[in-house]
Amino acid sequence: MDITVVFQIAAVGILVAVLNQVLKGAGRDDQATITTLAGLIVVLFWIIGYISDFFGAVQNLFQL
Amino acid sequence: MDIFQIAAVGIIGMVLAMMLKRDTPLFAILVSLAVALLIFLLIVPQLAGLVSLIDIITTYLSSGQEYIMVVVRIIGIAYIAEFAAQICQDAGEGAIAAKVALAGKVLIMGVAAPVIISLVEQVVMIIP
Amino acid sequence: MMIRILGGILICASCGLLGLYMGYRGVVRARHLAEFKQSLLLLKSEIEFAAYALPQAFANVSQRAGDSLADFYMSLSRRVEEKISLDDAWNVGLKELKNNHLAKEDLQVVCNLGKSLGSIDSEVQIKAIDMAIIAIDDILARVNDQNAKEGKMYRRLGILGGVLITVVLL
Repeated sequence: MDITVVFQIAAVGILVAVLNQVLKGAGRDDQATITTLAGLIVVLFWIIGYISDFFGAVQNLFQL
Repeated sequence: MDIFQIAAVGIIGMVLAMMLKRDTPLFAILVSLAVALLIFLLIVPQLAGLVSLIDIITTYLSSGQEYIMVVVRIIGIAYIAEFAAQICQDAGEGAIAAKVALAGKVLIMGVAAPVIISLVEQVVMIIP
Repeated sequence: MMIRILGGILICASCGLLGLYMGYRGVVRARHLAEFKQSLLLLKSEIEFAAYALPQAFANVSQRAGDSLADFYMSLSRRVEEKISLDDAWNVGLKELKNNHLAKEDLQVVCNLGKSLGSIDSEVQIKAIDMAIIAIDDILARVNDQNAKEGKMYRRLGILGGVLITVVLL
């Protein structure tokens, strides 16, 4: 894991925020919510692997 | 040096999270979660060294090695509980954070139970 | 690394172009509607003031109308001369209209006009054309409004969506 993942998450976050604004401005609130959800799912995909790495590492280290 | 990398990662993560917090607080928390995970994963080799140091110290002990293991496990449980509770609190979910901390305390008591029992046994043996 | 950057730029560009195309469709629809209304005005003046028979009126309009509509009116005039009923000729001609960016409701108005044009009385024909022109004006105003709003949105959506996909796939 390196810092590029963090930048990717931040970029997705910014783009989702801007897309939200554009869609809400055009009156399509439901599509705005869907894009937020899609961005969240994509980011979760990235993070879940790292969370399981983290928990595995702690388990090994502290012999839980 | 490692500490520079880690400090830089931390500050960059903080800036990104601040930037996102106003528009999508959700992604701000995800960014801070990712940065926290990243920093921990960068530290893991050093932590392994520390734990092996504790292992070496235990070999010099004549008795009571299993108690050192219990202490190490308690540290692990405490660390994970604190990690999760802090993230929840940063997101504003104080109730969830408190429950995670409570769960950590209960589990630590559970792991420490044998030590407490043997401590009481020893004390009872001393008192005639 | 270079290939990834190149691929990312390609994705952004293509999504941006897609957004532009979505906006463009609305603009073209407005333009076609305006052209059709223009040709209807020509037809009305032909019927009102020149008192030609329909085939001749259609032929005259086709000479002064825009490219796609010229073919339409020419084929219409030919078919009416062959004694095909006006309604049928109108609908067949509409189907043959190539590069048609008119929406369903626009075609509805035009089809209805075709039905009324078949009547013999020129007064009725002129009134039918007037009604169709008013309906088209209505639709035009609405479509222009829509375009102003949606065109910008589609453009931005296109580029932002492209950048989003690039970041996700990088």
